[in-house]
Amino acid sequence: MNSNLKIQVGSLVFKNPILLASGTSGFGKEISQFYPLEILGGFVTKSITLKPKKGNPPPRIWETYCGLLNSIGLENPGLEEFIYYEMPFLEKINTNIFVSIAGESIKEYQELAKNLKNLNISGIEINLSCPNVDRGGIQFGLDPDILYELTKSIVKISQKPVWVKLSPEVGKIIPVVNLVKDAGAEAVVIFNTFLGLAIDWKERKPVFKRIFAGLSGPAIKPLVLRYIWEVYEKSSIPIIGCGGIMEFGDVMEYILAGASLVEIGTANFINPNIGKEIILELENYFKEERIEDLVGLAHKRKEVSL
Amino acid sequence: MFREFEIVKNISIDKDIFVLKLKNEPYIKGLPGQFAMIRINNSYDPLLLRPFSFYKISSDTIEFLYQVKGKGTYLLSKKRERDRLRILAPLGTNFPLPEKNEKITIIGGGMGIAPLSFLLDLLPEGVKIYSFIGFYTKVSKKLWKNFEERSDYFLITTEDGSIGERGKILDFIENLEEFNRIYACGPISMLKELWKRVEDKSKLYISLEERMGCGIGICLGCIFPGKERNLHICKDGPVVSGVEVNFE
Repeated sequence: MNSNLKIQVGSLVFKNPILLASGTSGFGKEISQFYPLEILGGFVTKSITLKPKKGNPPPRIWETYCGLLNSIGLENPGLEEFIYYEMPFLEKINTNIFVSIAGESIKEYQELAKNLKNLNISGIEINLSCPNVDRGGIQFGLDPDILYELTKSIVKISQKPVWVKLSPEVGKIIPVVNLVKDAGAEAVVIFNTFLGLAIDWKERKPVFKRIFAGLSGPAIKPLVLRYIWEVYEKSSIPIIGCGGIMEFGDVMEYILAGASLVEIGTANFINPNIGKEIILELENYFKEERIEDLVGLAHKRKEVSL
Repeated sequence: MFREFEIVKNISIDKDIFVLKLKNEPYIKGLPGQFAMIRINNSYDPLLLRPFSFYKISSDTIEFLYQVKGKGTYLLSKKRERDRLRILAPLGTNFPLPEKNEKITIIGGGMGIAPLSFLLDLLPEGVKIYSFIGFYTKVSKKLWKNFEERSDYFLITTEDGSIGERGKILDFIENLEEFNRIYACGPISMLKELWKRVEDKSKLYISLEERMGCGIGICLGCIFPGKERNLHICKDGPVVSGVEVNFE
């Protein structure tokens, strides 16, 4: 292990900045057949809800140019089954485990946090950005009052580090991340998927039954980076970058723009070894320097010569 | 599990239908019904890997039968001998083999014949095989030769009558209950009708298809309604027993 990759975010130390994003690696068992998850800086679970959720009918995915639209709809086994069947595996992994939570009401989020309080996990990622459900998710993330109250109460109830995963739909980002920071979250995760649409022109109708779906993949990377840059400039909250990371160079872009950690999502679908491959490249690259010193470095190297 | 393979040949055997043959090195021990996810290009467009079920596997080569349908299969059809492809395999469930002396039927529709042809290659001696395969229109004999040669009874249909009987394949199967096992792969409408007609659903094994993202059960893209829970075709399938699914 290369200690130059070590980085602290809030109250937690990460052995490297690479995490797997929620909803792109389930609860870890599948990817662990490719490499031991403990080499990761962290792992974020598929979002869990209080009760099991069947998710949306097919089709659930649709490929776009350099991107992927999804409308999974938070399919998950629910809190009880998660604790019983998934936690025993997760708690044995020697890295930071974050449990992503989603709900249809503030109460549901709080109930989840209460039940996670005594589990052996590093923290909670609040999913306030799922675009594929009718209630909760993105609606809560777009309402400043709910966003603040909800985050504050989860911080209090869980007694654990809390991250908030935002949607690009928030628009003006700075007031939102400041609210999240004031509410006591240790970091913001920027972003969940972008809202998108596909029409099956042969059938002459929308591809997805819910019409809009979430766009991820390399197509969105520049769009997310622009927000990482802005948040790094204007707010002091630590940033977890997420969106379109496919390879080592993408991680470097995120870090130089201001992210302390990154989450790899869609790339897991294309290459289940991607987490491991990127970590190996980071280990090679950071032989002399510390990754910590590169966070936001590009801001000092703006060439202002108009 | 995610490795590179060299193309031995990639040739058209009918209009828009290709056989891709790879050197089986590093060695894959795949079973009938199982599949591989193939990375078509080392670029991000198309982004996702593409699933293909095994058509034939020997100690030296692996074959896939595919139809050019979209961007992914079009680009694949342009690959040449000695090009290399990154492949995630073997994945998913397989057709369980029958016991000696069982009487079985194999029902295939269109490109659904691919895994069934592989199944035929591996059936034990003494199994009585009734094969029924249907296409929309005339296809090259290369596609159905294996079925004709290996089956005790063989019937082919086309919807326009250009070869074999005219009509849909299921209309030509009278008694399904006489078989110990029924193996099927093809369009969802065919599988649905078949499922409804088979009384003892534990005898039925079908291979399902849905738009697939990852192939290993992490994207949750390829769902199919199951009896008690969602089935994820890449992980719980593609081959499922008739008792597991719910077509109602």
